[in-house]
Amino acid sequence: MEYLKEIISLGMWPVLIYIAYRLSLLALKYFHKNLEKTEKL
Amino acid sequence: MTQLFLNIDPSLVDWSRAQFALTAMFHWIFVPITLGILFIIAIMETIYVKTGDEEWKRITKFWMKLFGINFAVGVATGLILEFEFGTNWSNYSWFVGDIFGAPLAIEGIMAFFMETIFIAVMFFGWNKVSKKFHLTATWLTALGANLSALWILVANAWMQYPAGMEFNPDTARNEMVNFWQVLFSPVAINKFLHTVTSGYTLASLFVIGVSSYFILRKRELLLAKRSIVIASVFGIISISALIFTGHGSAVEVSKHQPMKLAAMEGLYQGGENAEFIGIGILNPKKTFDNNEDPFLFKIGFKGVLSYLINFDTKTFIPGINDLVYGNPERGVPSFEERKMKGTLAMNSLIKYKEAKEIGNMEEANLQLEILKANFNHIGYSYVEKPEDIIPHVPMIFYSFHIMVFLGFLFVLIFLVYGWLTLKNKIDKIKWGKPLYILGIISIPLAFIATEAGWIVAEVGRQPWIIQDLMTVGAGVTKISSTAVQTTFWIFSFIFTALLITEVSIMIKFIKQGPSNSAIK
Repeated sequence: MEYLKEIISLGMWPVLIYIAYRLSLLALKYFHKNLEKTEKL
Repeated sequence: MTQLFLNIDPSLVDWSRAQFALTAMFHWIFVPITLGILFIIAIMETIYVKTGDEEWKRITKFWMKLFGINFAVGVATGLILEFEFGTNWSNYSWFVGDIFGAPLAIEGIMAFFMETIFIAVMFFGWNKVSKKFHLTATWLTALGANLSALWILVANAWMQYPAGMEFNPDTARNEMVNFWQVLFSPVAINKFLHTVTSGYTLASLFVIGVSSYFILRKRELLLAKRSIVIASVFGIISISALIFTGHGSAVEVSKHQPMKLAAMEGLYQGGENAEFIGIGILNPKKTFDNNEDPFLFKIGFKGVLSYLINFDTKTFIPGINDLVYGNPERGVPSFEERKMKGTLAMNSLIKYKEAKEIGNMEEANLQLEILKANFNHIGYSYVEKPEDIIPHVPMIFYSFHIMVFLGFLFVLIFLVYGWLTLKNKIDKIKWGKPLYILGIISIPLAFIATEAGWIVAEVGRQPWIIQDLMTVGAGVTKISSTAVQTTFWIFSFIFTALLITEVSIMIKFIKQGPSNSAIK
């Protein structure tokens, strides 16, 4: 596999987008929890 | 042949370069937002489809509207850019059209068509197609726009590191022999990832900047905060990848374009334990052939440049002087040596053609061997003086350092914005106003950083249009420089008008805010 390193590097691109999506969900969950807390206060 | 190219009016070359640079720089104002914001929009719409929360639909539609304004102008400037290869760089296009044409054609046929088909569904498909179909169209538009970037960047990378081709002496053209070598060239992959992640970073800052405006005005707070959460997460991941691929790009530059690396660091005298300049002011009196100090002021880190390039402080990094005068101990050929080999290659090409014409195949084969052995230096036959192989050092040095400095500032912005928004404190802090203003200012700063990156890449490879094989002067179309000047000013006027129009419309829509009627 002559181009293995390059294929893996290119394959990281959609992985990054997916990670960004999953982390966004987590971050939003945390944000909404804090939003509710702040509003209660 | 060499003489023909040397006879070209230098002002024609300069004006043609200026026109291409103008078009490319304007084009690059519109493209990076498109590349990044589409994925941000796709993430927002995915959340809308998953949760059914209508507020997310409203948020998605707001950013989609801003994207739409930007997209139209991006396409207009991109098309002009591609036509300029034919109108202004026809010698170049003729020399390498068989290679360069392929990725450009794939870009047009596959990626651009994909992007434009699904963009129609994305804009006009709300309530006409199912939610899932619409979401698929949004993701495919994002993918199409980024694949479009892949192919044009593969073409650009080939100019920086020509791979997967063979020179045909009968037609005097380069022909593609290995498509995969062109596509999977390490320079191409690094360039693609570095460029798109710079677009993602810029788009994230754009979202943060516009959201900061809403917070400053105490309007649309939920939209602004939710947008900042997504943009800061997307931004921090993108900028981490940007730093990683930036390092990869620098390693590739050290292998294939050592002069560019030397200019990036203002490095005249190479060596082991090479210094990375953190901050520096270049000495304007410094040239390659005098003994002036290259810097008036600098804060440097010894050995860091060598370490960054090869994870070893003992790595030798050639400086500008090594590349001009040669360094036999380190196997670096001098300009004179390369010019001699390049001229030999060019002469053997002429002799090969003459021998073939009179049917002297023995002589033709002999000349062909000489040509093949020296082909990698053929571009040097166009270059007259050693200083002509040195790009504009101050422009590259300062552009590179501005880009790096701003990059680290953006990391801070993402972290601060992300943290404060997650804690739901972003609109409650006492020192909020300067922070929001910094957020808004980060939009033009992101443009400065990304344009600076392109200046490093493109000015840094001068005088080459194809690294070591063809100079920019040799690639230009031989037309009157007055004609190019005329179109330069016309384009300047049109592009400026387009930019003013776009920015005005965007500001108008941002001030207007998201429409409540978006929820249907």
